[in-house]
Order: sequence, then C-alpha cells, then structure tokens
Amino acid sequence: MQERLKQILNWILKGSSLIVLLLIICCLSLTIIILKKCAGDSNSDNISIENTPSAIISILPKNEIYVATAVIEDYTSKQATEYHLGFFPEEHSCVQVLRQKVSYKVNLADVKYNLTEDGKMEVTMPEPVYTASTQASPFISDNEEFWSHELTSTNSMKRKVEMQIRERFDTRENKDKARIYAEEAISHILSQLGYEAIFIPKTIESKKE
Amino acid sequence: MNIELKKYLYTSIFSSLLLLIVGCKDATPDANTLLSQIQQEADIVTTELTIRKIAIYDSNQHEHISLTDPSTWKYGERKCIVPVEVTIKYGYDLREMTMESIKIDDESKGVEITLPEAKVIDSSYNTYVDPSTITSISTGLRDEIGHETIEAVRQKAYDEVMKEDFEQIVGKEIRYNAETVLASLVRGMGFKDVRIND
Repeated sequence: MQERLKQILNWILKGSSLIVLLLIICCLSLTIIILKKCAGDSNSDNISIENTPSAIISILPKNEIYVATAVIEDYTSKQATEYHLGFFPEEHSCVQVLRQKVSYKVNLADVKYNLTEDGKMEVTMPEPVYTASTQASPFISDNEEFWSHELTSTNSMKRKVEMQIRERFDTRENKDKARIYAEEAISHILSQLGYEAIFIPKTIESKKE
Repeated sequence: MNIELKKYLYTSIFSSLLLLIVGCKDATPDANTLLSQIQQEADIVTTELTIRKIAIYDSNQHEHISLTDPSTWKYGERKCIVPVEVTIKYGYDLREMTMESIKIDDESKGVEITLPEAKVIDSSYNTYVDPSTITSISTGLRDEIGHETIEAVRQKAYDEVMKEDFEQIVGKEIRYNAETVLASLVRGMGFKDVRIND
C-alpha cells in the first residue's frame, strides 16, 4: 500500500502533473461560472405576472380641476459595505428612481361666485394645491439579495425622492402660473355661460367678511 | 500688416462669428426637458376609481431551460405575491367644451350642457409599500426576492390594469358624477335648471 502511494506520488511529481493541475483549475473555474449563472437573478427585465382579475375597491365622486401638470423623474442612491468573513470588504450601491406626475388642482366646491349688479361674476378662488401621483418607481442595485437584507423597506428612499421632486416643482413661480391657468379655465367656463369673470383675491374677500 | 498676421486675424474673426451663430441657435428641447416643464391644463376630475390588483410572479411559468444558454440553467424557483393599488381619475377636458356645448335659456334661467368624451385625467399606483403585505419565497440556488423584483412586479401590475377598459364597467357612475358636479357648479352661478347631455 505504501509503495503504491509512493508510485502515485512520483507520477504526480513528474512533468505531466502540470497538465493535470491546469485541468483541475479549469474545471473548478467552469463550475464556479456555471453555478454563478445558475444562481444569478440580476435580470428583472423579463418579469411577467399571472393574469389575475382587478377588483374595483371604490368609485368616488370628485370635484376638482387640474390646471397645471408636469412629469418629473428624480432619484436617490445609497451605498453600503459588505464584509466577507469579517475581513474582505465589498462595496454595494443602489438607486431608487421615482417618476411622478405632479399637478396643481383647485377644489371647485371651494370656489365662490357672486353675481354683481352690472352682470359680472365675482369669483373667489382658493390657492391651487400641489399633488403628485406615481407613474414608475424602479429600484436598481448591484446585488438584490444584499439590499433585501440591508434595507427592510425602500419607503424612506422614496420619501426623500418625493421631497426632491416637490422642491423642484412646487415653487412660487409655478404656483403663480397655476393660479393664472386656473383663472383662465374658470373664465372659459363662465364665458360659455355668458359671464365675465372678475377674480377677487382671498385676502380682500376675508376682509369683507 | 504682414500677410501671415492678416491671415491669422481673418481666421480668428471668422471662427468667432461662426461660434456666435452656432451658440445663439435655439437648441431644440428634448422629450425629458419638455416633460418636466409645466403644462397648462383645464381638466375637471369628476370620478376617482381605486382598483386593487394582486400581482403574482412565478418564475416557473416564465422561465424555460435552454441547453445552449447557460444563463437559463437555474436551480430553484422564485415566487412572490404583491398587492398593488391603482388609482384612476376620470373627467373632461374643459377646452373641448365650446359655444355649441352650452345652451342657455334666458327666460327659464336654464342651461343645457353637452359633455365631451370622458377621459383618463390621471392614473397612478401606491408609492409606498407595506412589506408585511408581500409574500415571497425562493428555493435552490436562486436569489431572494428583493426590492428590484418587487418594484418590477408592481410596475407590471400597473401596466396590466391600465390596459383594461374600466369605462365600460363604471361608465354610468362617471357620467352620473359629472352631472352632479357640473349641475352644482352651474347652480352656484345662479342658474336654476340644468340639463346634461352626452
């Protein structure tokens, strides 16, 4: 038995052992590559869902007029370090994108009309209100599994992006534009009904009261 | 002035003029710039519809093993169930209402309004996700279902809901709400009798 082992050892230590070693390294590399491809799920573009029915939860009446709109996309990112075996660091990063349709709207129930003696319509309109609705919220990362443990929820990142979008769109300049558009829309309705609209600022109206 | 200097001077003047012309040319805004600029609207929203869709993702239903493509040799499966809430707002574009759409009877103080076609004014899905409502499993050597897949599933569910025509189901409610809203609006202006036509 010992002589047999000595013979095997001598054979390995000969020149052909280099070829064997190279073959072993190739086989190991191939195995790792195949396993990685089997285990990897980085492609979420090909996702499709089952055909399930849509349930209508509620149908509510609304009384609003949308006077200004824009579609804005913004993002925020996060970085984190993962330590393998406690020593070897690996950097990870992720990006939360949010695409929102942002608008200014006026509640028509809060618009007051007063017909004057000379046949004109005095209109008191509240300030247009900012509103945002999400059209897309993709999350992109270098390692999905890592971020599913690192971040229990992406809501905080989404909240940050929402604030960024609001800061970009909800400005004094846009509010003033929205107010002008709202006055034009209401003037349009009133002109169809044969009235000329006169808009009274809210401050004067509250002084009158 | 020698010839070389003259050549240099004329070339500089010509280049500067060219740069000036090119620089002053109005750049055509791209689609992203246009999208983010404020657009004027005059849409009256009369009905808000809330729809709940249970999005089910099962990798077994959509993945097929190909011997020639190692990326399809996946051991295990991934499944998740994600509820998505979609909101659709229906209404009318006031700019489509013309002089012919509104008829006034001065004697009876009545108004007859012909509504344009109802349309989707706004649609969206819930921004924030409650992790406790999501169920997911992954087996074998597959990655766990993370935020990327969940967001992709939610987007797919929203796209599927938007392909459906809900006006056929809730058309009567949309019209009834529009009548109520416009009637109260017009009565607020002093008119007594209001009639709404399609």
